[in-house]
Amino acid sequence: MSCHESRAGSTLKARQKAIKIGIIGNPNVGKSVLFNKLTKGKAWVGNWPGVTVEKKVGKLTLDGISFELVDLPGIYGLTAYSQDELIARKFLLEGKPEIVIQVTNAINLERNLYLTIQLLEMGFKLVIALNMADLAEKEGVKIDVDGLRRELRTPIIPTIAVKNFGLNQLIETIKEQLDKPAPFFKIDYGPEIEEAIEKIRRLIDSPIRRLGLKIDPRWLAIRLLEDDNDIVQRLRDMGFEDIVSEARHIRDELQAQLNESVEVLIIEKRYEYLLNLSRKYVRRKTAEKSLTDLTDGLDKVLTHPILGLMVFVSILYLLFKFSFDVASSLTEVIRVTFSQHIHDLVKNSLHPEFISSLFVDGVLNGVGTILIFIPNLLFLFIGISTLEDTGYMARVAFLSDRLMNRLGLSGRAMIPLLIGFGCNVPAVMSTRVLGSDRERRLSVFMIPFMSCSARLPIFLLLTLAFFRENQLIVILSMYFLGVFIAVLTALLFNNLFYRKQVAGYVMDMPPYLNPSIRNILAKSWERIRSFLMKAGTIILLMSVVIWVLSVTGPEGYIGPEALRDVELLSRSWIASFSRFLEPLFKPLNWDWRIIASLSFGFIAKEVVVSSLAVLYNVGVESLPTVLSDSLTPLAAYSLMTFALLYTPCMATVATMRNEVGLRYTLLMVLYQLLIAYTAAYLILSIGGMVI
Amino acid sequence: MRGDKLDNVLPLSVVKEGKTVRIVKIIGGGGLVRRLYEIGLLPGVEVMIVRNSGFGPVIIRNNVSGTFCLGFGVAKKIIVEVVS
Repeated sequence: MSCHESRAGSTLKARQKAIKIGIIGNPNVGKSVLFNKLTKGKAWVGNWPGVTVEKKVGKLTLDGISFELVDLPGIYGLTAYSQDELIARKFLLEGKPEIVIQVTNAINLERNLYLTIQLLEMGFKLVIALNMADLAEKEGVKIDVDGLRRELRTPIIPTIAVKNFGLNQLIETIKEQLDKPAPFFKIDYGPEIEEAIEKIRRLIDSPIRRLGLKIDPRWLAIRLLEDDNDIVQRLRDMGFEDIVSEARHIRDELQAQLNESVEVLIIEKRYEYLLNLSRKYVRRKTAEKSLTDLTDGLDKVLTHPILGLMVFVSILYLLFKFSFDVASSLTEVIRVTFSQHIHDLVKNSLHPEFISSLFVDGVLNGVGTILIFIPNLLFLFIGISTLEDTGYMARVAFLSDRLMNRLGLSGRAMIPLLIGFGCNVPAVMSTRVLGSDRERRLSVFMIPFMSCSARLPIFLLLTLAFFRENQLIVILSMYFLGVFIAVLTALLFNNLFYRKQVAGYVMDMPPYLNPSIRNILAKSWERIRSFLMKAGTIILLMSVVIWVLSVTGPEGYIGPEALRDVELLSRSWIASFSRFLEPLFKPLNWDWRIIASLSFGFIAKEVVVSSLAVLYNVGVESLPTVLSDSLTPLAAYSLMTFALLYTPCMATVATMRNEVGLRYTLLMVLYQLLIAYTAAYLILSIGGMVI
Repeated sequence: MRGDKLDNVLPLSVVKEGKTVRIVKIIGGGGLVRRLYEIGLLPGVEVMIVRNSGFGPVIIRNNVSGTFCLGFGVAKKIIVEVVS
């Protein structure tokens, strides 16, 4: 095909550079598992639609050839209907992968073949991994692989990615394909459409050749007939306005002639072609031990409007119970080891005092804060990953649909919100699977009010100091308050900006699968690792910055004694900055040290507790005692409310900016500050009247 | 398109659980129709209703497409005739 010249001569050259391979497929076909196996575990996977929200890259070296594997979002077609499809197509068009591996689900092969056809039409060298071969067999699906291979002129390798089956053969096939030309593939769309395709192809053929673009002109012509907005825009940007309008003219003529939508006709032709393939090469008989039966049985309960909701609430409760109760003893061990043994060891072995203080009060305090998080996060992530891998998350979306509809959202928006309880950053990123911009924005606005795990230490600390008896209830009240404000926010913004109903959506319901423990652990570890890298470094850095700002001031170097002497500390930079803000927080009666800690909390909410510890010059373990001397329980509750609601951490803000743009992000940051301040003030004044 | 002569056609959203239906037509704009077509839900295709409470999303299944959850709004736009 014209877009891919034979690579026979270029193999040597290619070997010096990594060979780019794209991995693509429908949602829930085991694409990410395959990617992880091939790259030896660099990305994480999930069993609900759209876990791969951003493309992930991994490396693989074989016999001295290095490959760069790119994991693309799970999609059904390349029509650029959702953000995911746009991302995938952008990579295919601009990333120029040498080979594309399409992972397909052998159980519903036909649906997968639609994407196959589109990839072949684009002129890619394709290798098909016929995944879940074992499950398909159990379902009674028999596929004539050889026949299909001949017909599509494309290698098809049966695989069972979770069991490593067929992966070696897949790799061998990829190597073989390197030197082969892309197959010739063409669907006959019938005389009228073919004539139009040919007319448009002739229009664009020579300009594309002139520009040296490696795009198949026939494919472009078909896309233009299908009125593909993205392609139209791209051509316009290249200055082909005249071609676009001429193509439109041809399309309109054809539409008038056929008296039906051309794009619908084109898709129908493709299905005609692939249903024909299916008749020839796919046989179905009654299953002996059907996964569908098991799934249906479970779904009778789990998607039941009442029973299902009860199960969901119980699972949610268990998830939090599991991640907090199981973790708490581990947290205690870390806390004690850290704050006593290591603390003393370092303090006594480092000289002079300046250095020793930097390490103990700055670095070690920071590291301690990070480590104390790990058990809670680990168990929460294990829980969430398990729910994802079993396929339960899709049921959650189904169950919450009606509820979310009232907020102007579809059930799918529940998943990002739940992830938000773990961390707001991946939550904001996972909104990409949602169909419309409106729905994405609305859920991005709600996510920061989902109390992420970084806010938990603040609640733990303050409840330990003030509400020792009712710790769990007070903490839960924070979570509920967050959800309540999120709901109000959605209602407010939906009425203010959109006043619209939910757009239609379509979601894959994967069968229930037994999750692999290895996969869950790998995924949880990946999430912990990214927390350590992202938040950990910031926390560590901030702990040191706070230390520096505490031991220096407008008059110059004060010395580490400042950390032990509030008198000295009040001459530091931190004190001057916070005093500057103090009038603003007068109504809330906050000490400058609290203001300072919360300002640092903007960088990462994780550092609020550790900076309080530094500023009050105690270890995190004795902070509760110190705080209970300087705050009333009501003030503490109001402080918790503020910490819950105010601006999310820098990382979340940065992610929001990427997803919804600067304007909406700034609006959100201001809105949150306002809400947090108002709520904290209301609690203080109304609570004061009641008590 | 308004001239569908079948008189036992109805929107998918009102079909009871367990029934099998044949898609007659999909009403609506480009994006949605395209998406449904892409996953194999096009006129002439038969699907089974797995779950339908009557006011929420509908879960449907067939061999070609697998199992899908369709939002209520989508289910209303798929016109079907009951096969069994």
